[in-house]
Amino acid sequence: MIRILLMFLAMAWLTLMVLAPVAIVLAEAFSAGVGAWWTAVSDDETRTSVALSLKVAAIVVPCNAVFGVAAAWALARFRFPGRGVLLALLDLPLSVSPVVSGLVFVLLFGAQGWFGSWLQAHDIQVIFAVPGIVLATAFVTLPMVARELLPLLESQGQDAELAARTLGASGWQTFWRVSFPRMRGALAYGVLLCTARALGEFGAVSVVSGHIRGQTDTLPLHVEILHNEYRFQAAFAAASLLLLVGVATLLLRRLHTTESPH
Amino acid sequence: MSIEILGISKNFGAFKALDDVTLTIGNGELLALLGPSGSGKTTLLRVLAGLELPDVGKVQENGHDLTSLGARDRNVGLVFQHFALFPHLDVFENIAFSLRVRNRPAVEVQTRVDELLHLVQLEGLAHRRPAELSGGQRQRVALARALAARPRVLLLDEPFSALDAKVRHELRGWLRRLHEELGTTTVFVTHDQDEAFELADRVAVFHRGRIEQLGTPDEIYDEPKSPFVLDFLGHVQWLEGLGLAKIAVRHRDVTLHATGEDGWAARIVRIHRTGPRVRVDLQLEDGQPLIAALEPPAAQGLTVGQRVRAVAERRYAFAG
Amino acid sequence: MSFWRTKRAPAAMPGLGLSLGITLTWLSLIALIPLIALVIRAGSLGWQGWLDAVTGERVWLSLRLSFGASLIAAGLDTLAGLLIAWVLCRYKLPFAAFWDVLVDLPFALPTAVAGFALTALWVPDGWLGRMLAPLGWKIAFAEPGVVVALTFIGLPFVVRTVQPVLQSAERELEEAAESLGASPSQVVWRVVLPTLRPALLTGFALAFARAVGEYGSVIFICGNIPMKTEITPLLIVSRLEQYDYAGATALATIMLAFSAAILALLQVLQTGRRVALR
Ligand SMILES: Nc1ncnc2c1ncn2[C@@H]1O[C@H](COP(=O)(O)OP(=O)(O)O)[C@@H](O)[C@H]1O
Ligand SMILES: [Mg+2]
Repeated sequence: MIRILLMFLAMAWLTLMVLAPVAIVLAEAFSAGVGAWWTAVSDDETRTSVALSLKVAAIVVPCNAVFGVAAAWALARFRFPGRGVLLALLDLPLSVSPVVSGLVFVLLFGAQGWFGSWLQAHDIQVIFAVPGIVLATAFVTLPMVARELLPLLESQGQDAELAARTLGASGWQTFWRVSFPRMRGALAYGVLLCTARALGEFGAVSVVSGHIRGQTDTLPLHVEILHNEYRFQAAFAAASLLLLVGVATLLLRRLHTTESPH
Repeated sequence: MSIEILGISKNFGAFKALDDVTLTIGNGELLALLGPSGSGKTTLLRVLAGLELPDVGKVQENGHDLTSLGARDRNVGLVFQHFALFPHLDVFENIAFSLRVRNRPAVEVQTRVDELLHLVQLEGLAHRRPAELSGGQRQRVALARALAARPRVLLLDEPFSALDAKVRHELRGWLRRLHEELGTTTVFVTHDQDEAFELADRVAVFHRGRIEQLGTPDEIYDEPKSPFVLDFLGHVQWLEGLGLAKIAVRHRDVTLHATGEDGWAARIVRIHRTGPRVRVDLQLEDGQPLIAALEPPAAQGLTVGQRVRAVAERRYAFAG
Repeated sequence: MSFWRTKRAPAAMPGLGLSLGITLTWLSLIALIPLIALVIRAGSLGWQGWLDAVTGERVWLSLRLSFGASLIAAGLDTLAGLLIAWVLCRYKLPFAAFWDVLVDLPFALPTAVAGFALTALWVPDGWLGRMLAPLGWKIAFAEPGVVVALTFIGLPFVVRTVQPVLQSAERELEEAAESLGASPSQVVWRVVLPTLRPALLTGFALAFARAVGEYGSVIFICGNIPMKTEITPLLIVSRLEQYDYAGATALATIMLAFSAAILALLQVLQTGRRVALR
């Protein structure tokens, strides 16, 4: 009896608190039919914002992927002074408020920032421009690949790499022939998470972007603008794209976890 | 080609994992490092393989210093305790690894791997992944992988500990024959004295990072140099107050006599069969326990409660 | 120790220099230098300047709302998260995989989308707001809206920290307690909850930390009424928009210090758990 009550409560909570927001996005997005959804999604401004989001992700994700592999390697394979501090610092970008993540770049590169006058003199725009968005996004998604790889490398131990060394492999041979093939799955998943977050980041990007229509509006910012203009159906349609990315990530994650023994 | 280990010490923090170890491994020898867990056997093996740098001391081959060679260049075949097979490569590629990283031509790789597959009797399994193999098969893949580049010395860390008892015995004999066939200088680590004695030409007994005794199995069994070695070999009883020093008697060295004046007066407490021998638990007059491991005929007619004379055919006493 | 060895063997594990070099360079460029710049900038305000920027009624009210609503939200998440983790681990839920995926949605949904989806739900004529409107309860554009948004984003933190512990917890422990005569409620209170306590605390801390810094999902539903539904991140943004960099920086240092403190707390909780496992 109590079991049925608990099951009911859990399902009710998930339905009201999690499922309902998702459902309303889809319901509103398609409220005027698929045609209207398509019109909203294929609208010029929406397309530009999608393109900008993809461009930012295309710059940020490879950098953070290389960083992630390097950081996971250094932290899992070696013990060195300051390792604990480094581990803690790695978590900081994920736990600090996104608003702060954006603000730090305004302080560095904004008009009143440290490099502000220098940048102005050389006519380089960072804040309220694409470079600022890239930096803020890189900050927010910094440890996402490393976080996926670190536990995997720790649990694998070092024996395989050491075996490769005794068998005569060079450092790079060890990495490419032994380590990399075994981290490929987790790396791909980390890249996926990082991409999804890079596409969907709102707070940090909104602080540095300046909301210049058609120029510095990423997809989430575009959604906000549509919403503020009371174009709700269009806003929900654009949001449904982001929802799609999120749901796809979750489904791929399920595949990833059921496939790998870890 | 002999391998000389000269005065090697290795500390982990304040802990002495190896303490001034000196040892020469003869060409073609099969040497066992025997000792309890934590006594430094694996550490010595890792130093030999170049995976661990000694704090002090040298590793030489025929007088040539190897210490400055990294694991990669040392060409030593190391078989890890849990094999460390590459899970993403099949049996063939695991064995071929050391040839591939040396960019050997494909034909040579094929011939050499086939040869090794034959040697370790795994011809049919070349394209299985490690996960699809039994423990004994994995062990043999690890061995073949280590042998592929014709290492100057083969190192095996507790090669049988991850296997069940039956496979362990089969592989023991097989390894001995393999060693006779190949003649590769081999060092293997074990904490199992039977394994060491059955396989090795010489045994080095380890204790707290030092070599406690080095010798042939016979020498070590017959002339244990310290209480530790005697104890570690087991089946031994320590007795006090029966002479000047503390003495030790091996169970199998005790004989029982119904009459006579030799030895000590004792009472039989318990008799039971343990495998090939009969174990008789005794109590001496001063209350100390003593155990006799008798051949079954010698135990015939003994009864619990009976008073007998216990004679130690051999006693061990150590100075200090 | 021999410092006199002429040639040193290369380390067996390759790549320390390169990997650490890449790590430190990128981490410094993207995170460390900017964060240090923030702290230095705050320092240049001087103690009095900093104090002036973080006192005042508007700041105080925003902090109270941010931390208060986050505490309530993290508390709700802990209760609901425990319930959901328990049901997912111990009972055969119909369509269990579906519910399990659902738990992660708040992680995967961009915060802006979550924000106005929740707003649309809880406005007085929304799907859910409609049910509460007759009772005179206002969710969207009021403080409860903030709590709703923060509860939404915090839920997976609790479920995903409790679930593995619950899964690996030995059923035998509960069975042993039962066979020793414990009633079901005694089993829960004396065996199950104590073993889950570190995980619950960790989940609570994670949800709380995330909630305090949250921006995107709150700004739509809270209605942005200064002194009433203005959370601290929002106040930082509005100061920035008025080019009050000093004020924004000072507030940001509070947020940063809070994040660092939570990270330290989590570190302690984790070592605590590791010790307890031994
Ligand atoms: N990398 C290491 N760091 C710290 N202590 C170690 C390390 N490797 C080994 N030790 C310690 O050195 C001692 C000897 O270890 P080992 O050589 O593995 O012993 P054995 O193989 O004889 O069981 C052990 O007490 C072990 O804890
Ligand atoms: Mg060992």
